[in-house]
Amino acid sequence: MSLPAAPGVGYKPQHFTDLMSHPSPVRWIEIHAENYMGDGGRPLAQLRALAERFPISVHGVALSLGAAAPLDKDHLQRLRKLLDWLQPAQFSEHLAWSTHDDLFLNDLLPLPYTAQTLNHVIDHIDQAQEALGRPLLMENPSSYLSFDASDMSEPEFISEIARRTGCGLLLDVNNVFVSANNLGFSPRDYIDEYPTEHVREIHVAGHAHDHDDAGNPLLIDSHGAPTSEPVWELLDYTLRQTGAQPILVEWDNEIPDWATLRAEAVRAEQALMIDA
Amino acid sequence: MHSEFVTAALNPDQPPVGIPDQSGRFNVYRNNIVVGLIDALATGFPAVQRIVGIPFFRAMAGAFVRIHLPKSPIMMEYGVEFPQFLRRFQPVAHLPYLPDVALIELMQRRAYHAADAQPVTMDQVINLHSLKIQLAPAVHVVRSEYPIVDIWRKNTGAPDQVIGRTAQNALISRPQFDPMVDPISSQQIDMIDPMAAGKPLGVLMAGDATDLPDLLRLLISRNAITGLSHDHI
Repeated sequence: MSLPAAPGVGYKPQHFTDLMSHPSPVRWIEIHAENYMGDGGRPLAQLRALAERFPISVHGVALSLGAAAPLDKDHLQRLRKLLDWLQPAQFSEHLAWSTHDDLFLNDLLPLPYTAQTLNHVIDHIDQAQEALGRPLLMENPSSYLSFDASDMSEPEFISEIARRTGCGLLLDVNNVFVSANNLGFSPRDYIDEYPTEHVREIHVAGHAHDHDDAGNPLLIDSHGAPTSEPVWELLDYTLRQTGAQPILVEWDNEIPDWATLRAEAVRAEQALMIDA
Repeated sequence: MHSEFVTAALNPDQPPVGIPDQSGRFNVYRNNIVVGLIDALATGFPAVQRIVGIPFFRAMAGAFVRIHLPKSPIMMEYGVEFPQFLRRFQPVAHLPYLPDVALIELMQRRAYHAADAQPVTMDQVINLHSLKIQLAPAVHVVRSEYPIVDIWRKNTGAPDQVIGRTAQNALISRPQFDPMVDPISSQQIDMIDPMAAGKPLGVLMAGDATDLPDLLRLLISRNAITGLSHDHI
């Protein structure tokens, strides 16, 4: 079952009954892989029921593709077990790192974009795709700072990864907007440079407004609010280049009631009707 | 790059070396790591948080996070050392039952994610002496010198719970999806380990076994017995 070019939502257990009884316009769901690595109980029972009804996208947050150390073989094995059991429509991970030595840092940390880190990430993606027995989609990060060492743009870096690993791309337009604001580039230029032909899924989400120590506005990728109007506009702009795509509404903190989340999905559906 | 980043991220007093700290923006990562882990502990230990209050809990969890960063990316397993940490954390020494409350919450979380299993019914329980009992993967116990189940209940949605004066042990089980916490006697908790180790009930009945029938009834009502076999020696 592949993902339809339609709205999906990040699955939260409090929405189980609503999703099972009146999901429209939501037609697929995404789960965080690491939340379903227990042995049984409600999480897996709900997932089993959801999988009978919806195509599922599995989103990993802990593979640490950008780590210095080799990928965690135990974690690859746990992922493989989940993917083989669930048979999801697709599996995605992040252009980031979250482990170091034997520590798990529970956050998606940034990389400089150099020939060296490029080769490193490519090796890890090759290894992951081999171990998982399927291609993965890689998601662009949200950034709060840039490295002096970077000598490639992020879209350029991502293009090379897609070209050399054959992986697909998950384009998070809120991340593009957040990074563009924080690092001072044009989000539309980013989309123009981005290899949109490899996109297989799009994320939208809400962000929070903060300031850095110099008083400059700083956007935080909080996933705790409705998607902002400029991000919806950037989605419209993006869809004109990617064509219709599965669009995920991500809302992971301050989780809203079903009606509020559904309204976001309706907005995503409208974007698909207008643009694709 | 990774080592320098991690060192600076975990030590707020240490400026990032070789990493640009553009107008304090590096703090976003420091904050994300520590706050994310404190949030995970708050989700995992709600009764402990209620007992000490949110500001105190978050400061205490921050101290724990700095010593015990996760070793596994499976966050449902994070905080295993928290009860032990509380035993040694001087500012909560006046709450000696707090580690036991944390242990109940930890076992409850384990029970929540434990493997599913098919329970047996009371009429299958025959020939007690040779009977060996298989407990469900979700079954856990917490021994305590405090009325720990009462304290736990009072701080997890039952504010009117009266706290008794006698010590309680806790049996954690999962009838279907929601973990249950029941008080059991010290005689009963002493029976759980041999049961789990596959000893026939005859061995348990060698001493005073007056509380055994009630324990069996409780376990069965909680779908906590998933297999019966007989010792034919």
